[in-house]
Amino acid sequence: MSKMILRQLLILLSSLVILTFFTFGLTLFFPIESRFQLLDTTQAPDGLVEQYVSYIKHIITGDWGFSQSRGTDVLKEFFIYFPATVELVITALLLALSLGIPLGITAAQNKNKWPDKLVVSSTLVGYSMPIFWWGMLLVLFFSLSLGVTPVASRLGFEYDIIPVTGFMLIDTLLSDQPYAIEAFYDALHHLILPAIVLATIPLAIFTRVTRSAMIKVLASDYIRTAKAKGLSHGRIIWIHALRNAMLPILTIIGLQISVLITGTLITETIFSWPGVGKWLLEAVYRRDFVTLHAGLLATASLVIMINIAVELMSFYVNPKMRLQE
Amino acid sequence: MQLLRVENLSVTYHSSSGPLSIVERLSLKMDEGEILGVIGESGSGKSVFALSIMGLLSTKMVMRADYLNLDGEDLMKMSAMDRAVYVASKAAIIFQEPQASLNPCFTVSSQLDETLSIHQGGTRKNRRVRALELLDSVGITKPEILLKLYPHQLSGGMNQRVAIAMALACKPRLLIADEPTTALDVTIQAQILELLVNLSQSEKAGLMLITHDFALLSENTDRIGVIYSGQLMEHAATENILNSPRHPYTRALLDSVPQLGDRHVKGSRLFALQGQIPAMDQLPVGCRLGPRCPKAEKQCVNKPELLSVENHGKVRCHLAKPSPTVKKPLEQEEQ
Repeated sequence: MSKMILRQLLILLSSLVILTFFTFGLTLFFPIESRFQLLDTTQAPDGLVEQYVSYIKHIITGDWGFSQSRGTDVLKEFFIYFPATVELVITALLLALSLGIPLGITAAQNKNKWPDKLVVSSTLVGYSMPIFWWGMLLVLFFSLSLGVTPVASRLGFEYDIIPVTGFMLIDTLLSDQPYAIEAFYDALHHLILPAIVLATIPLAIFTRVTRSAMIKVLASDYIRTAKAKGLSHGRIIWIHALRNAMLPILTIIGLQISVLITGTLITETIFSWPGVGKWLLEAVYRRDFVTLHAGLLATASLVIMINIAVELMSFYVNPKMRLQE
Repeated sequence: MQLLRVENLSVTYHSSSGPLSIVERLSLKMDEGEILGVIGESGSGKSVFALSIMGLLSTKMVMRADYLNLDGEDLMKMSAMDRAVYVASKAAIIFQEPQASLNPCFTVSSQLDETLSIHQGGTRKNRRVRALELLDSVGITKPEILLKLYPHQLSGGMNQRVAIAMALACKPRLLIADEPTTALDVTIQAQILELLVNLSQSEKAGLMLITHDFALLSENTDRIGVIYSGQLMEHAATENILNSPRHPYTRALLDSVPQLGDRHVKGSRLFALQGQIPAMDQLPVGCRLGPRCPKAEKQCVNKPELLSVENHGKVRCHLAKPSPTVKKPLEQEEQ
């Protein structure tokens, strides 16, 4: 077990090192004044190796340069926008999982009957839909026609909430303002549409993966044994079958998190969500290379770390892998 | 006392090209403590028959029966829910692949404990004691260690012992063993078989031994039913079947058991029945064995009925001489 954790940590470290090779390579194409922010001196050191060492020093000490358009410390700025994105991504992920897994299970149980066909064809539609178009449609319908959800941002301007954690749902509840609960519901209203849009593609994929994994598991001998033992239907499905189907689902969760983070670029722009995605897209318009570099490095390291974490979790779920060591 | 009474049990599989009859009007009886052998080649429907008694058929298969009595209750009169609970408390089944029939994600202890908590209840401590007892009774020497292990850490024979212990957890009146030794080593086969027979005798439970291997049935069973293509072909006491098989199919199965040592005649070839079991949508006219039968005659294009043969049992063959007095189908009479 400890050997395996060590191995995963080594993989994590080497992935991060390779990532810095890549980001360092990108800085070589930056305009000279952007580039010098990530190196020690106002003058570039002689060789590439010295430059790389100097670059790494900057990255490790947290000196990631100053935004060219705003003049602020990009790393600090990243952490201002980051909680909004995390809030959105986690909500979307939970939404996709809490709908996708039951839908997949229902489809698997009714294989080739109408519930299954309905689920399979709608996931295909969900998967193929361009999400910016889907987001626009939802805004048109729910925000403009029905008027039930706001169009943009995280919170109505009438509420004054002091950021503590950066997560609006938590901050509103922590707030000692008299309208704290109202503000919480308002934040929820703001969150729901972007989360739905962002969750659409992962939802389709989770549903399909759950379905195929469950179909395979439900046909297995040990499920027949569980039935013969007289276990209740719910226990067979949710404990005996799902535990075995969890492995492919976990793997796909790890992969989908990077899809979610990429998706925030579009979703946050559609809904004017003040998160990392919108921040990065604006940096592109402004040719703000230092900001772009910081966003790239931070999100990429995050995705790598999440994937390693998921890998460790799948070791935990599968006793065969866990006990191999 | 009668333990199991199956009358005219049929299983239909609803395939995309129409319904197919997998098991056709099968009737069997078992008494308490009796050991019944069910034999037939792959695809004959013997496993489906076992699953239909347990109510474990896939949703595409439909079972019908005039009677399906298990330990005094008619299963056909129960709702699906009641039936599942009742069957699980009265009968248990052991499958062919021991490794696959245990859940790979849970330890032996949690799988045994789960079964015990359904059928027996009691505190966790009591259940643990009972689990150790069960493992001990299936011949596992260090049950404490075994409880912590996962199925993939055990050998096939050990897994089958665990599966048997799990089956015994509900104190079953009927134990169905569906090819319990096919996936095991020959040396382990005998041990597992002996274990099953001893357990059924000590618990006074009926044992239905399903196999394709006559060698397993010859010593242990009281009666044997021979199934071919979903039909009961011959059903008689073990000694009658072994010594004077009346059905050409039974004869063929017996002849195809290899002989070793002195009994083997050098240069002789092992008997094999020609052809293969017909697909269920392409059954031959008349007797289902017809095209493969070494003794087939003209009259075999007519459907044979399962008839009683004097001093033997029941045979579905035109060539077996039925007893002169009784000339009605088996399904209506008592043996």
